[in-house]
Amino acid sequence: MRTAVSLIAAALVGGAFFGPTPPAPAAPSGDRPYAVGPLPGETRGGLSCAAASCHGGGRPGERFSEHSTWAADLTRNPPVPHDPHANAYRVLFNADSVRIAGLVGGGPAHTNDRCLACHTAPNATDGAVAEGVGCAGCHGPEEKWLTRHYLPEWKALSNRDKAAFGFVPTKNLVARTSTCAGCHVGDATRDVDHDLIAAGHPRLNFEYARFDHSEAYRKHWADPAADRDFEVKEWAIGQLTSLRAALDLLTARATAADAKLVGQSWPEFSEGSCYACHQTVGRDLYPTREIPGGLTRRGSLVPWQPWYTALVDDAALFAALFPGSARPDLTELRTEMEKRSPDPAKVKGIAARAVVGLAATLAAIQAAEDRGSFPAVSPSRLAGLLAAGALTDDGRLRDDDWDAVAQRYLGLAMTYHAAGGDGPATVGWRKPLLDLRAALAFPTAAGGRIDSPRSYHARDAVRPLTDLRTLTTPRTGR
Amino acid sequence: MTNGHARWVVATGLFAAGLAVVAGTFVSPAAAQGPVADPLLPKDADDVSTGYTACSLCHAVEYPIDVAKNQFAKKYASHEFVRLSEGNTWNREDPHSQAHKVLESKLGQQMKQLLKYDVAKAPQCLTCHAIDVAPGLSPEKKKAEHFETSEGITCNACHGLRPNWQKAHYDEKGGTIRWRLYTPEKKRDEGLRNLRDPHVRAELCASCHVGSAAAGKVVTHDMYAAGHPPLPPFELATFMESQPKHWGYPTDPELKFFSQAGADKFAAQAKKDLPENWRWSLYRFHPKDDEVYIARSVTAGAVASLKAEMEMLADDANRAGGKDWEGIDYARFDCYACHHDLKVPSDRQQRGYDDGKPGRPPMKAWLGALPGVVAEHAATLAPLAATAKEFPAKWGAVRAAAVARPFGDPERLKEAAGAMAAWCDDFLKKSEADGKPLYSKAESKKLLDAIGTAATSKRWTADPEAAMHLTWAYLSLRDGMGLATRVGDRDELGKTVPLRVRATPYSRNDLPVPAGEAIGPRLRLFAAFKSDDFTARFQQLLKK
Repeated sequence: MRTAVSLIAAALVGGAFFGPTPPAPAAPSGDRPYAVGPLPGETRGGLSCAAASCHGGGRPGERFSEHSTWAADLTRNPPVPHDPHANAYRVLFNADSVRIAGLVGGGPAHTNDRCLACHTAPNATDGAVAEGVGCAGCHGPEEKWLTRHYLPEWKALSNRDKAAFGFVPTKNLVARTSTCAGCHVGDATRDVDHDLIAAGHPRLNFEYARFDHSEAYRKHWADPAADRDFEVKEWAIGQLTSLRAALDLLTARATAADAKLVGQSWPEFSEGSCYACHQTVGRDLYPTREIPGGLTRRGSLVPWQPWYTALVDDAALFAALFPGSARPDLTELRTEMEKRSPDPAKVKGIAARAVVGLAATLAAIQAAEDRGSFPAVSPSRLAGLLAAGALTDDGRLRDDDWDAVAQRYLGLAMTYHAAGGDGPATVGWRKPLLDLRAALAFPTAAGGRIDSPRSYHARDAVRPLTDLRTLTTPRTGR
Repeated sequence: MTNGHARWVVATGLFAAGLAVVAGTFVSPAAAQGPVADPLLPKDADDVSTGYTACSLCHAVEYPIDVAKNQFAKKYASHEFVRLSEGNTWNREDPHSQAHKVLESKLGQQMKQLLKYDVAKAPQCLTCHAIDVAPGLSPEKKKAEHFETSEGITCNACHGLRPNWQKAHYDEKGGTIRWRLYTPEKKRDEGLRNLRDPHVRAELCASCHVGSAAAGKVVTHDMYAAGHPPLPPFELATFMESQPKHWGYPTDPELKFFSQAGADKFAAQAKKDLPENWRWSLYRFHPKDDEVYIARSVTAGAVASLKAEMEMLADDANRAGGKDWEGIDYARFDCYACHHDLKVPSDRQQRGYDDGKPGRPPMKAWLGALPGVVAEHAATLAPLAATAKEFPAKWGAVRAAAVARPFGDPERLKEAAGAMAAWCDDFLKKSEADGKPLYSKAESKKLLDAIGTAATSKRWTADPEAAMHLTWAYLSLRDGMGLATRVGDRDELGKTVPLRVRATPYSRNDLPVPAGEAIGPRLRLFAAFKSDDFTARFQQLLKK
């Protein structure tokens, strides 16, 4: 650490802090996001964070009260957790978890490593487990940075320097969304597979911009209000980091299947579109379904990973703005994964290569963020791309899968908010967006919940998407 | 005649063996090359007659029959043997007459577009939707020209393709139709399939309504995904009831020949022509009066369905690793394990997954549910006890192999499904072996109660298809035993699970009925299945 401090000092003296190749102690591999892979050190929980003079100010929602915002509101009985992450461990004791654990086997959820991998912070010591996903779950295990991060020198460190201590620089969107994706999508060590979902675990369908603006979530931080493109950036980066995580998980699954490891299911259904299978048969016998215009997959087979791949081409256009990025090409992987029995040996190879490519792209974006040299991205332009990408020239949906259309909706809704909501930039957008949302909505049920788009017809999405395409097409020649 | 007589005697003794030949050879072209040619299989292309017109000359009389005006009724009392109006029923109301026409409907067009082949000409469609006039030919060799498509599934498609019996069955000698003196076995030797035998009927109907690997009658998941309506679980007695009936049950008062009195009358008239060992019971399937006729249909239908499905599964698994084999076809698994809306709370999660891991498609529950009840009951019947007790282990092996990994372990499935199919065959044969009644009124009541208990047990409550299939069997058997159900109770149950294969009977002018209209109401009700409602209403039925 001595080395780090002295190097930083040198950099400050030189006045070149944001230089192109910032020096870092034991620099992590330069071609991947900071928060990916095992972080050094362990966590003993957030008690020391919660000191009144640090992050436990006791005024939820305010600065220096981050821990208070995250933590349970102890003034109420029973205590109400402000942040769902604070409840992550406790839910393992509820009736749902008991049933899920009973169905999948492997012992009670609160002692099952598979559950604990996400329901507590990684690297948590025994005493920290019960805290759920505490500070260290996202900010990194504090062992190596706790006593440093309040020193004035800490602020002078680059993100790369900080990352070397096991700290996750969550202001960097690549680092931040990669951290989220590690649990909310999964990775080589964290796997919510179909066995677990069938036992009752909720499906994971992570979309960062949507999560970031969830009404149910109380933030303990503030994003830069001055950055008008912030939402577009977080959306696009979230798409790419989620895809990377999904492919990392697929690589692990295919590797295990290829090695014929006991317990690895293959084909793994959670790689597929949920609602391709989970739909009521015979809802309409004629026409059974719309015939999509772009993808040539066989209607009787399961679309592969529509949630995380639907907008890869659109997100790739964003990625292309960064030098050193590579365009992700999933054609070969999709072809193999949409077979009835994909070859795990083939899949693990292609997926692993795709992960490397995406990690390099994300590293390029991450570095640009750190440099502050982030290109401007217009929400309206992106909306135009998203709407146009949904449709073929002859006006059919390119991909009619619910996941694919829902991702487009979320992307378009994000551009609407990023453009300032109702205003001169979005005249006429509101109605088609609401129509699209209505087409995708799940029905409500008395005494329970329907988790399927029972009344979804792809044809109902065509009109709103066509309208949005018209509204967002840049006018030329006038 | 002498020859025929000699063959009766043999045929009577080999009653059960003969039936096995019928069943075995129909589904297995390989067996046709054996030493004994299947008398139901045409020898060559000229040995086939499928047309409706010839049959309609006699069998399309308006019902009820005006005996004074109908020469067959007047002279030979033919209306006491058959209805004589069969052709009208088939022609006006029976969807079998539309079997090929539906391939050219809107739905057929859609399937053609999605499947990228012409469903009206593709052998894999025609095996069920037209008449296979070369039934001995293996499925991969079949071409469009091996099918007669013009009239759908006509009389002869089921009753027998060969012209031999078609001509012989109205031959008259000395005022008696000679055909009437033949036993069912003799008639089969002449080319008429004995559809009055529930076992024969079950295997024939199941060959399309469940499928047949050997005959190339397999609805694949590709076909379903392109729009083929889902095949409902096959329950023979319910399907018979849902079909516009051109036949009568032996208990039908119109068909006097099937009563002892009617048979005596016939015997007296035909005395000089009757062979010595003639007895009327030979003409009925069940040899004793005290057997409940429908019970055999329910049990044979259940076991024949399982057999047909297991043969398809074994055939699929057997092709594992071969060219173009992509994995066991999704259609072999429980459709509704995947095809259901996701709900919280979930019936499936409450019930648990006794096949193994959650999230792996199991076998269709209905396939094993009713045979399980039939076998459990049969364990108390002497001729079947030993075989019946093997059922749980055999079926358990299939189910375990199906969830060993997603979409099954082909090696294990091949073996387990083959053994299960062999068990079904064994069970069906042993059901008939000693010619004694199995399903007396008392035994049928036990079977009925066992089906009722199964239908309301927790085990099947999360599986609407098994619940529906058990309900169908229960109601069919109950009706067959003449036990009344209160109309109100039945209506209430009908609000929770479909009680009929089709919503409404067809009429003269609305064929073909679009598939959605014909079965849409059933599917919608099925999709809305709530196990608690179903169980409560079924229990109401059991109380009476």
